[in-house]
Amino acid sequence: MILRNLSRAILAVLAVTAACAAALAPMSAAADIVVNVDQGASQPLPIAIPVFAGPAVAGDIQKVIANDLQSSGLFKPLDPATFPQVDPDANVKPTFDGWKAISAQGLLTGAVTNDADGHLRVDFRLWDVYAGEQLLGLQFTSTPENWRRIAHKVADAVYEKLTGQQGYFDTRVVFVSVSGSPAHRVRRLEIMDQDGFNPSHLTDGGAEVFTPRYSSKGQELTYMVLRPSGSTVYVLNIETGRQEALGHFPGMVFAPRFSPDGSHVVLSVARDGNTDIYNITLASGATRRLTTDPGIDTSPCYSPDGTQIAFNSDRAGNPELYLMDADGGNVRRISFGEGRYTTPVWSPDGKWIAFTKQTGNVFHIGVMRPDGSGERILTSSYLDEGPSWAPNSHMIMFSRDTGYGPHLWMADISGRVLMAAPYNLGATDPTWSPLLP
Amino acid sequence: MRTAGHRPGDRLTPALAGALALHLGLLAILLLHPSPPLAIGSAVPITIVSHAPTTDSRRAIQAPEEHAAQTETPVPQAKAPEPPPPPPPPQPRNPQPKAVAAPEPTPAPSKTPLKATPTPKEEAKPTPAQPTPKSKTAQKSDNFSLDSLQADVSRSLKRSPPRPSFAERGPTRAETATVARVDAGSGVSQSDVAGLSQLLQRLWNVNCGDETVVVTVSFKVGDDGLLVGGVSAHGLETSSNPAISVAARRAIDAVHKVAPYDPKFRNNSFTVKFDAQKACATS
Repeated sequence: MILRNLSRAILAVLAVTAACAAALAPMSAAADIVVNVDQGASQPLPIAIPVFAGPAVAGDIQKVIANDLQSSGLFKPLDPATFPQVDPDANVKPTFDGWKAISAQGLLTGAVTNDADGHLRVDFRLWDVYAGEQLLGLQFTSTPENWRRIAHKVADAVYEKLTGQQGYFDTRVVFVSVSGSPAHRVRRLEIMDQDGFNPSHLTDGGAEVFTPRYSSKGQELTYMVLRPSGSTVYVLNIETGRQEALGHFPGMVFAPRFSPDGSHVVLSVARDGNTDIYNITLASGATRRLTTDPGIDTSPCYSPDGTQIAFNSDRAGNPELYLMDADGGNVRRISFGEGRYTTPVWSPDGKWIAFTKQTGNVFHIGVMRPDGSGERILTSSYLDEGPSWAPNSHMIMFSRDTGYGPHLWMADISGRVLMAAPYNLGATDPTWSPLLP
Repeated sequence: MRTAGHRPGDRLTPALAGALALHLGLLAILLLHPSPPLAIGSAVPITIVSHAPTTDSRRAIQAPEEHAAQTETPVPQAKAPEPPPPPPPPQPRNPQPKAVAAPEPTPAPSKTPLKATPTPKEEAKPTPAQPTPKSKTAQKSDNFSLDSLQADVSRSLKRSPPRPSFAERGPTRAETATVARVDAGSGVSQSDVAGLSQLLQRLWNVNCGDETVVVTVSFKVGDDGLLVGGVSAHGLETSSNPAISVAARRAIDAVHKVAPYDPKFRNNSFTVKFDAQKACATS
């Protein structure tokens, strides 16, 4: 009897204990105050970039970095006059309170050194001011005359760390510069750094050039030359200057573009009133016809993996975007919106296809998913055309003509950044290089 | 030239003497019973008619638990002596014959007395074992007594199972809620939380890239309004995916920017959900 009572008492105590634990557990787990934040301020990120310690070129490097970041539209370099410290030591953890006071979210400190072997060395650290921790610490070395590229590399590293996207500052842009009166247009191939520096001519203007396209390898360029006798597609090695015509076609050839591995070029050939897409193997010169439809098929562009080709065609009565397999099979339409879709360009990451769209008298640059979903119009003007992706698949350069001749513009795929590219003269047909080695 | 004679004021008339005596008496009274000095600043008492309802700031004390029904079990006999009066004035002590033998009333009210009879009460019984006592009750209703009524009440209370209560209980009841109310134990009201949310929205520099993510950040605010320990994004800040790690860091930075936190937020733990997908879609 006593044992039975005792066991009952123990069971009762255990039950009460379990009940108390069950009661308290959810309390402790739910003690946090829950706050939902579903709106934010998508603004340029304030960043402080004091001049790096070192020789005079350190100031130039700081300016290039600040300009790169600011030109992206995603950063706001702060006024150096407000800095709490003029030349912070890159090897000492900063006192963050002063940088917080000027609302700097990032802080870039660094030092420039002329090494004994004649190289220029740049050490830098990126700090998260509010978290009070280092995000990045790197060192770049190159020849002194390459200081601009070092600065671009630093900006790329900062951009990637603070946005999560690959940088694109250490790149170049090739485009067609347009000068002269409308009756006497001079169209030349021109190349410049993406920030507008170091421009130089690639052709002399003796013949009209169109649609330059970079190879994903970054060393070669293909473009079309129009002469009274007809059109020719060339492949130009930018580093060596060597140039070569691609085959010979009885009709007019245009809109060439490299395959991702650089071994092929796809282009359009207009012959006997029909325009179709052809593939040329660069090593052998062999050609293969990919489309046979009676409509106009043009602007072919490989997917980054080389398995598909996007193009536009009016086979349905209106210019629309289509995909086909790399061998010309499995053609399917992907654009179904209002207007005329042309010049599809696959993004380097394969997630988007940029295009030119015309609705009424307005032209747009837009993007959509390769399956045709998620169409997003990024720009609108009297004439926007010819999009080209930056290697980070985030920025797009295109040509805009508001009635005063074509100029280069840039937009990002979010639609939040839209600005003129750093080239003030007439220009069209931009093509963005991959990241430089 | 002035003429000699008596002026009226030269003589003490009886009226004048009386007035003088009255004034002197009044003066003496005032001197002997001076009024108490008026206290400067004394307040007039105010009768408090009612108090404003105080905020229920009790903490949630325990998990939900079952409560017995708060309402009394209906007593079957209670309706028998006083059935609801039908529209035609019935005889209260003998409703059944009235209802049965009531052909004249209009059809609508005639149903009411029928429901008041013991017969419908039997239909309300949930268990089949109860018709027997019910029938006894019906029989006893003719011979009403307080003793039998009490016995029946006790019996019915023992036999009938507790009925479900419609009173608030469990999580919906303040004292037994499983989640602490934000305006209760923490001392932080919903409007405070909304204010903090708006502040974080202003300070959160959302990264609207190609890939947007939802980041949940946890942190604790100490006595001084500063963050206690680290601010955790539950590992997202160290993700190998740059887009995710950047999103987490920006959310963490927003939490840091608020510090020092307002006193009302101190000594509390927070979980903040930063939804970049929604933020980028609307901004």
